[in-house]
Amino acid sequence: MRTSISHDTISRRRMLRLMLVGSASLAVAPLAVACSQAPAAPAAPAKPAEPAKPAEAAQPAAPPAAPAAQQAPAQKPAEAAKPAAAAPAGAARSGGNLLFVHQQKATSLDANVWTATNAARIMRQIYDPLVWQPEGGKFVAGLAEKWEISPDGKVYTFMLRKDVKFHDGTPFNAAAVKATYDRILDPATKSLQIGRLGPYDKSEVVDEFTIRTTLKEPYVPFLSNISEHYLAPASMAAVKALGDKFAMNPVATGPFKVKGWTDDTTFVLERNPDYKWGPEFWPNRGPAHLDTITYRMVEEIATRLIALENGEADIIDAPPPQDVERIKGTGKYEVDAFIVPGMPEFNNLNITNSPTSDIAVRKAMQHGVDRQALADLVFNGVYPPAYGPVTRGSWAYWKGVEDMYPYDVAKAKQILDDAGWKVGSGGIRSKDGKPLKIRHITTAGGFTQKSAEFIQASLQEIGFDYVVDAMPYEATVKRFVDNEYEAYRLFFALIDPHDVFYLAYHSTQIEGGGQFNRTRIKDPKLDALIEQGGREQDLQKRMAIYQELQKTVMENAWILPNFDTALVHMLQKRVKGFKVDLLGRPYMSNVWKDA
Amino acid sequence: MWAYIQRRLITMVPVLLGVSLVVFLMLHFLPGDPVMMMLTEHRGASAPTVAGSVGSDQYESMRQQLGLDQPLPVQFVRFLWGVVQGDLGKSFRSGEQVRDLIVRNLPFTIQLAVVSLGVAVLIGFVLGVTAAINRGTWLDMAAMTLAVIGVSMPSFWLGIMLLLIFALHLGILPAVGMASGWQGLILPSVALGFSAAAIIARLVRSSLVDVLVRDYVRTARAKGLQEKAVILRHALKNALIPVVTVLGLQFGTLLGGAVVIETVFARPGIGQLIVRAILEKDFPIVQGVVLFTATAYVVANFLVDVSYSWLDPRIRYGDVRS
Repeated sequence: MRTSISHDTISRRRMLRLMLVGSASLAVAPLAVACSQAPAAPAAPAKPAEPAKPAEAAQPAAPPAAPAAQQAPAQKPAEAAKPAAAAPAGAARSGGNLLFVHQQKATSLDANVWTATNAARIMRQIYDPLVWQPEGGKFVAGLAEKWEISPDGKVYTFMLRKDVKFHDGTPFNAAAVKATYDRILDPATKSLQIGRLGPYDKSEVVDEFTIRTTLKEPYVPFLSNISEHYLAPASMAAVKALGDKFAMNPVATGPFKVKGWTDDTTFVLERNPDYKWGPEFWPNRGPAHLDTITYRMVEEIATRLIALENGEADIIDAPPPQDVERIKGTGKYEVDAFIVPGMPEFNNLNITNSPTSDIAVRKAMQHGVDRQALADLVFNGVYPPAYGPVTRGSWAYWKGVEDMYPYDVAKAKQILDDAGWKVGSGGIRSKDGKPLKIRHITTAGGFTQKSAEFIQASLQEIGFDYVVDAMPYEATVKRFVDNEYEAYRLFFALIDPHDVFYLAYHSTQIEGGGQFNRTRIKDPKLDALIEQGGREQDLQKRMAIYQELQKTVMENAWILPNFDTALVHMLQKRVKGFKVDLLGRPYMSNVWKDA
Repeated sequence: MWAYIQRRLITMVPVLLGVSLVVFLMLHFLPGDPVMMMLTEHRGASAPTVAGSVGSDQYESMRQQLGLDQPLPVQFVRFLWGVVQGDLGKSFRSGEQVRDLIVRNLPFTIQLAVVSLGVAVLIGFVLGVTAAINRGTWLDMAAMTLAVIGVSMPSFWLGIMLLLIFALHLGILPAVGMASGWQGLILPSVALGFSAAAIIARLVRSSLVDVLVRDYVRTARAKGLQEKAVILRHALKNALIPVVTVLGLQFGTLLGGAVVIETVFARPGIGQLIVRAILEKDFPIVQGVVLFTATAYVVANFLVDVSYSWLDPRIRYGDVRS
């Protein structure tokens, strides 16, 4: 710093001035850049929702609530009013972009590798399966025109369509299906779908368009698993060419193909113009109506609602339950609540720890908690109360569970009294010096904790010392492994009832770490019945097995069910033809937008 | 001076090493297993999840592939070794290079922070100058009350209020407008820049009030200069020095505040990236982004310190002998 003083001061002044000018121009620069881009993209629809034009009132698009009673098992009351397949194809309008504002970003769109609800709804548009499952247990042709299952239930032969191409133009054939399975099984792929292949043994390419898959033992859910996009064929040429990029830009055979990511929050799909292999239950079996679908991730729930109400978003997901009634009340939007099949929100009751080892305690808990009030409180009645191990959305649902344990506090107390659990000091019951204490493990925050606290309040009134241990999910797993709990909150969306019972009640699912038999039942007879359900091919016989299983679970009061969960979508009235699959993911190929 | 710069650069290394270590330990000691989470994908979120059965061998093989089966010191050294080679690792989930993720998301955050700073400067100067030249009047009171509100109001709340007013009720600005459109930039930058504006306003006011009673201002007035010229040319210019230095530090704060604002307004950027990575326990992304942000912060602080000697010639570094 031996420079002259004058130089120093001048440069200081100049620098100050430069800094001011610089910061000002920096502040303006991005604006200017953005401005110059704006005319090219006049997309931002910032106007409030426009009133419906009377001229369009004659549209036959919204059919009257046609009760779909003949499809009883897979259907639930909330769905009856849905457009379903009833909308005449002629009414559809082609073109346009649909803005789908959703809660969570998909971390990977590689259906053969990744699994998660947020990704699944996009994967469903990109991946077509070999067979489709329009209703629980019913299958129709997809990429496979026909299929045969050997009498012993081990060999599945699929005769494939010959006119299908992947999005990258490469031909679809038996080799592509086999390569997809091989890729899933390759440990280097880190696929989460290995379990879905069940007792998979091998696949053989019989001829160019015939593939034969052999299982080591009969496994009925295999076809159901095949109907999901998780086992749907992908273009191996693209897997090779894209490498790491494939996960976010998958290439398969579905009605939409990846256009790309605008940025890390925005993803665009475009119509596959060559598509003509839509399943028979779709009103539109050809190319999709929409030109593009823009998926925009908006984590903040208030922002999603505002985007719906100011007309920007065409569809939003996961609205806050307390707003569902309000939004319905405006009459301006369609609300689609889909009851998810599989396990409801429920609590495993640990039969190896006291006091839940006592069946009287478990039964008293069933009578002591008002499930209707619980569902109303936690989800404002958007979700219905649950009384059994599978939800109303499952095809195997047995209504009998609803009458087994009516809410009856007096009865709950009576059961406890009769079993020797006497009220002691502080209103807490005990038996042989052991207090009636339950540690309820749940994830912290949100509805899971709220539900647990409702149960706590209910059961404290009848003499339980009920402790709610709320913690992050991963920490709950440790409590399971250490067997340090009496009640344990769980939930799983699953199409096939076999998976429900196998995961949560089979004796092999206790030890190991992440398993879900958190009731800790080891019963060979129960195991045998569950396995039988997984082997049986006749739907009626399976239904009987699952009815028996639901009855057994509830007679033993192995669980305390809370409520069925629903996937809720809110739609602008201009969105037509919206229908979801068996796990609540929309089939976007049939959707169109009224101008 | 040069010796000082050298010394500062060297002291940066332990700071960044310390930050890396703390973040690494936090990630590993907080409850939560990223592999279990990926395999079960249960976040207790409102969206129901789907998953198959999780076998323990699947669990082990995935831990192995992600290098999580190694002892912690080995994992940490591996991470550092990568950093030295310019490799921040790969996302557990998507397998993307963390470096690419940062490079892709950074421009959005910088854009937001820069525009917010512009908003902050604009609002801050208008409020500050107004308050100073009307000292003691109701205008002063009003401006400073607004400043106190600005400092104390959480930016996410302000963000939602702005959305309700401008996106929903007035319908003149988009709520989830595409990040590239300038309309989509207005509300987030106001929400983010408002608290910085309040800080600047208070600083400008006190600094200007200080200067306005100086002799040279009286001289300028005595010369018969217009009040406008006195304020803008003579007083404000001298009042600026502390303000300019604070701007540098505010920029860092704005980068940090972007985490919240990006979530409320669903903008892409570094904030959105790290929030999601924390929720998903994607360790490499969290480590990479924190290290990157810490480096940016340390470098910014360093530049501010060095610039002091430029702004004020009386400040000298390293001239212990003189």
